[in-house]
Amino acid sequence: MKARTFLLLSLAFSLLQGPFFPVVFSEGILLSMFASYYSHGGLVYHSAKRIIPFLFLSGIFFDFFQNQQIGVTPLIFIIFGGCLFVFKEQFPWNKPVFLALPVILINLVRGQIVFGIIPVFSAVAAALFTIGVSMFITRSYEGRIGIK
Amino acid sequence: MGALGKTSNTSNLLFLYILLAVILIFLDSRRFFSPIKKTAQNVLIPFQSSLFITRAALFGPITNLSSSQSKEEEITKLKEENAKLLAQVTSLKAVEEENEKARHLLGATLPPSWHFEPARVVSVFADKIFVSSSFTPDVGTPVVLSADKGGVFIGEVESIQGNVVSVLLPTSGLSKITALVRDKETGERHASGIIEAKQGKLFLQQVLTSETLKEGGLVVTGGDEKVPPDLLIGTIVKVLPSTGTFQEAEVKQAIPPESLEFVFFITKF
Repeated sequence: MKARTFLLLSLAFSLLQGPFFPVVFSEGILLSMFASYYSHGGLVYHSAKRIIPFLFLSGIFFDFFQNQQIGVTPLIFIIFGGCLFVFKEQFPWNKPVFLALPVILINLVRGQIVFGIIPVFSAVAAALFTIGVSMFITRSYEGRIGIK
Repeated sequence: MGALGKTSNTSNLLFLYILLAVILIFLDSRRFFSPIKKTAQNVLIPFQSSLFITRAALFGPITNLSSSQSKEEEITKLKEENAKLLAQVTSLKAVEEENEKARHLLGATLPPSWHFEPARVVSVFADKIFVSSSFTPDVGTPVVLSADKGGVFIGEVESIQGNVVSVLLPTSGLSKITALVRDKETGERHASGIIEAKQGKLFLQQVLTSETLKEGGLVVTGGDEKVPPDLLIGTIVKVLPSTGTFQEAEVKQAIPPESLEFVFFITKF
């Protein structure tokens, strides 16, 4: 998923989560897809300057449009970005099952810190959705969406 | 050397953005962004409200279909309970009239009538609901389902940002409400305790073992300086085995927050 798509989807879901979708749902999916795209072929190592501002902005969108304390979600996303750089070589981003792990983690952490809940159901649903999407529909690291 | 330099650059960049996020948290805690948030909320509330209504319209029938049988049973049960309640209301009205006459005879002043302000539910966020209202309530103001004396307790005002008011539901871990248990049939007081939430479920705690807890008992607010007494919170669904001096019961909320469209602030009681 390219940076512009990531930002646009962040904006859309930050508006929809709460009134329409569960309060915590898409952030894990978006971050995982974004990371998997930039991690492919070690791109992430060279693109720190490009990725981090987008993670930060996406977090601002979620906090602002969900009427939460501004700065908390960017902090979570940036820490995720930090982990991404640390484990860039060890983590198998191209394997769908492994892609689901950060989805669950991000959703649970954000749910607990921002809303004081542990959104197990929506985290698992988001993880399954990510596995489904990455297995059958997208090639996020190729920057395009298509049936495999 | 080059790789080391790049790692160091990345670390600096991460540190810079973490610092920026912390500054934003600090500024927002000082309400620095309140005017911007207020303006944005004014634009977003109608949009989010229509989304919320759309979701209810879309998913409401699906939920109803999946549990149509249990709903029918529930309706029959509710009808029976309603008939019993009507009978109770009639007898209570008679007592109320008698009471009023007695007050007049004694020259005592009547209690002030309750005041309400309406608010529209914008969204439901786990253990909170966000409502919009032209009225600005105080923090701690009780929120009920309808503008009647008594009624169903929804929660308490937690914070206000512009026109958007965050209401803390009893299912929140931060909420503690003094409560009474009344008999479903007679309205007689059976026990008192504190309503607290554990993993999204309500529990009536700190009830003395000498007091009686029965399944189906009505759990109502105990009343304090902020919350009026006898607002319905829910019903006891399971009495848990007592441990030591106190006993405990699981309570089912009277109204699921997802079904709310309008609520009322009690501004005076």
